[in-house]
Amino acid sequence: MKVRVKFLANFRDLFGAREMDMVLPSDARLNDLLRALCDSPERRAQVLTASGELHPRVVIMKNGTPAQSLGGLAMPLEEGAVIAVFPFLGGG
Amino acid sequence: MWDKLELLHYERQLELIGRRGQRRLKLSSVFIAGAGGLGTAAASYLAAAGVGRILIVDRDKVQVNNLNRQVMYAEKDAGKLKAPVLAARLSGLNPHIELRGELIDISASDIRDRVSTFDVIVDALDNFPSRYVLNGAALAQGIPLVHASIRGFYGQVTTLVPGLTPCLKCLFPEIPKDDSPSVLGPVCGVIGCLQAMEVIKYLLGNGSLLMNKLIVFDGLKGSLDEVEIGRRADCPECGGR
Repeated sequence: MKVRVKFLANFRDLFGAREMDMVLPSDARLNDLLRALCDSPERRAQVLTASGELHPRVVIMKNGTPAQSLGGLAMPLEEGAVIAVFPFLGGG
Repeated sequence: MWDKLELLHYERQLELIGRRGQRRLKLSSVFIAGAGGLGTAAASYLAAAGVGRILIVDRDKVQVNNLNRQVMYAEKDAGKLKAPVLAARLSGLNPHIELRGELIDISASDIRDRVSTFDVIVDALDNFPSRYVLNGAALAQGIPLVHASIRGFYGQVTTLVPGLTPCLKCLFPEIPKDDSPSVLGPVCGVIGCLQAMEVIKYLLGNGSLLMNKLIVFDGLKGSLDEVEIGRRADCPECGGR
């Protein structure tokens, strides 16, 4: 299946793209997508914690819903899903 | 309804919104939660535009290290409560409206009653625990909440309308531990002004609101990008209603 990943703010430079299409096995989950995307120590460090959890300062949404409420790294993916990756912004 | 000086104050926008629109602003009310980087920008432009009744609330006092971005304060204000200082300052900018600033710690208050008489709520807070309380109050009273937050060179803004869009908890169900993020002043200005624009559009019924989309501003690139956002049926706060 093919999913579209949109990178915003600092993640655009980190991944060198505004968006990219990723081809994954039909049973792929978010974890599989992130493993495919995070192919350098720097990318891994900004997206995942040392223990392999989602980094608390990254927001990942699938079709407008946060990954945290869809199973986190176990979130299932489907053909045509749009994944947005952007920083958590908490200040004011 | 208008005196001469008041009409002169609004002269450069009357062609755009007419006396009818100006009257609508004057009869409107906005609750601004937070008098920091976002709140000073949003409140300034809403006051200048002529929103008739504005309440600004904040729990903090002015500190000198606020002044890289909170440009309505002066170094001599250090140690004073922010909200009353900001309200007083903006009363000079527009003496034709009702402006108040109050010490309220939203994270420790039941503000549902306090917000109930306002048309719109502006989320210009600096932490998510308080934002969740504000979100709950907006949902309870069915009042639109113009959310924004910033960090570093980046900012985000969206308009959350109960029943029509996700709520804040739909979008950000969990939050990282809070800290004092670094931020460049102009980012607060850009995002706070976008909030003011959302409020004015809502009050006038003009244009399209940032509903069901989150705008992410990248100050380093000068870009604004959209993320489509949706309601969650299992949201613990709004239940997708």
